[in-house]
Amino acid sequence: MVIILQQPVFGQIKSQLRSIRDIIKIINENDQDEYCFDFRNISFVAPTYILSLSAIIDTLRSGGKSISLINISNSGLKLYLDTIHFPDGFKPDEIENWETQLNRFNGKNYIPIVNFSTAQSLSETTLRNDIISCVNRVIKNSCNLETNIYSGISYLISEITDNVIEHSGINRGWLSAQYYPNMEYIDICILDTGVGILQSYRSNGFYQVTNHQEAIENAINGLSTKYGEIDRGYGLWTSKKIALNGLNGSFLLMSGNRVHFNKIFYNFIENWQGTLVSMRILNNVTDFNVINYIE
Amino acid sequence: MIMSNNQKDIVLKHFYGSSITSRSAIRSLFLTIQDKNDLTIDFQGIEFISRSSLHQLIFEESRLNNLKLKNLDSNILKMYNVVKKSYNGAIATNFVYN
Repeated sequence: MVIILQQPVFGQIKSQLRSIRDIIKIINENDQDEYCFDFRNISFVAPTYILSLSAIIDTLRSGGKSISLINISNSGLKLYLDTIHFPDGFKPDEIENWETQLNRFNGKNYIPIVNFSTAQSLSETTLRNDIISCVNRVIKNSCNLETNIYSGISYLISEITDNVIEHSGINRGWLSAQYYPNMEYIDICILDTGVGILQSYRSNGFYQVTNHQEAIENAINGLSTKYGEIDRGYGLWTSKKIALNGLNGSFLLMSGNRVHFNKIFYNFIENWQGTLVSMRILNNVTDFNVINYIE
Repeated sequence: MIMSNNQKDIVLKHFYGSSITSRSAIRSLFLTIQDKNDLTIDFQGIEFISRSSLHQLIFEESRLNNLKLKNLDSNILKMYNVVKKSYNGAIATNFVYN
C-alpha cells in the first residue's frame, strides 16, 4: 500500500503531528503486509515529524511489515535523510566509533536521529551517559549556546530521556534536534513507542488514573508513576516550566490519543503508542538560570 | 568535612566523564558497589548532573551509613540542596499523612 506523505507547514509542531496522525490513520484503516512511503510532496522535514515517522516505520518492521521509501526526488532532502540516518536512526551501541561519527555533526544545524538503548546495566548506562553527554555537547557547539542555555537544554534532554529509560517499558528510545539560526530556536523531540503514561501509572497500581488526559495531567503536575518512591515526579513538571517560562519556547507532550501543548489539551484522535515530547527552545534568552526552575 | 581512614572514594568522573544524565547512572553504580559503608562520592570534574541523578543519589544517601559527598561544584551544590529539601519535604508529608 502506498502512503503519500503530506508536507507539514514550516515551523509548526502541530502541523507535523497532524501529518503523522494522517499516516497512523491510514495504517490503522488498512492492515497490509507492505507499506510504501511516498515522499513526492516532501521538500523538508523537522525533528518531530521525521522522528515520529522513523518510529512508525520501526514499529511496522518489528511487526513483520515490509517497508519501502519512494520519490525522495529532492536531492537535498535525500542527502539530509541519509546524513541523519533516517529511518533506522544512529545506534551508538552498535557502532564502534560512534563518538567520532557523532562529533562530525559539530557545526551542523542538526544531529542525527539518535536511537538509544534503554538497558540499565552499568556498562550500558555508562555508554548511554556518554552518548547523551556527547549529544548535548554537539548541540552546544552547533548552536553556539551560552552556558546558561546549555544547562537548560542539558537538563531537558537528560530528564526526558530518563523518563524513556525509566517508564517506557521498551528497549529503545529516539532523539532528534535541529537548530534554526534565522529563527533563533532549537527544536528537540524525544519519543518512545512503549507502554505510554496511562499504562505506566496503571501497571504501578494507580488505577484511579483512567484515561490518557488524566495520565498526562498527573505526569505534568508531578505525580510519579512509581508508588512508594519519594518525590520522583518532578521531571516533566520542571521540564515544561524550563521550556515554556525559562527559555520562552514551547512544550508538547503526547501519549495515547491526547496531546498537551503548552497549556491546552487536544485530541490526537488516533493513538500514539508510547510517549512523545517535543520542545522548542529560544536561543536568545539572556536572564535564564536553570537552578531557579528546579524544585 | 572529617573523614575516617576507612572512607572509600568513588570518583564519578571515572565512570561518567563530566556529565551524569540519568537516574540509572547512579542506581547502577550503587548496585555494583559491594560494601556501601563509609563511602565518599567524589564530584571532582563533574560539570553537570541531572535532577533525577541527584534525586537517586539522595535516595541512596538516605539509606546508607555514613555516605559523604565531596568536590561539588557550586551550581551542583545549589541543585543538590534544592532537591534534598524537596526530598525531605516529601518524606515529612508522607510521615504526616500515611
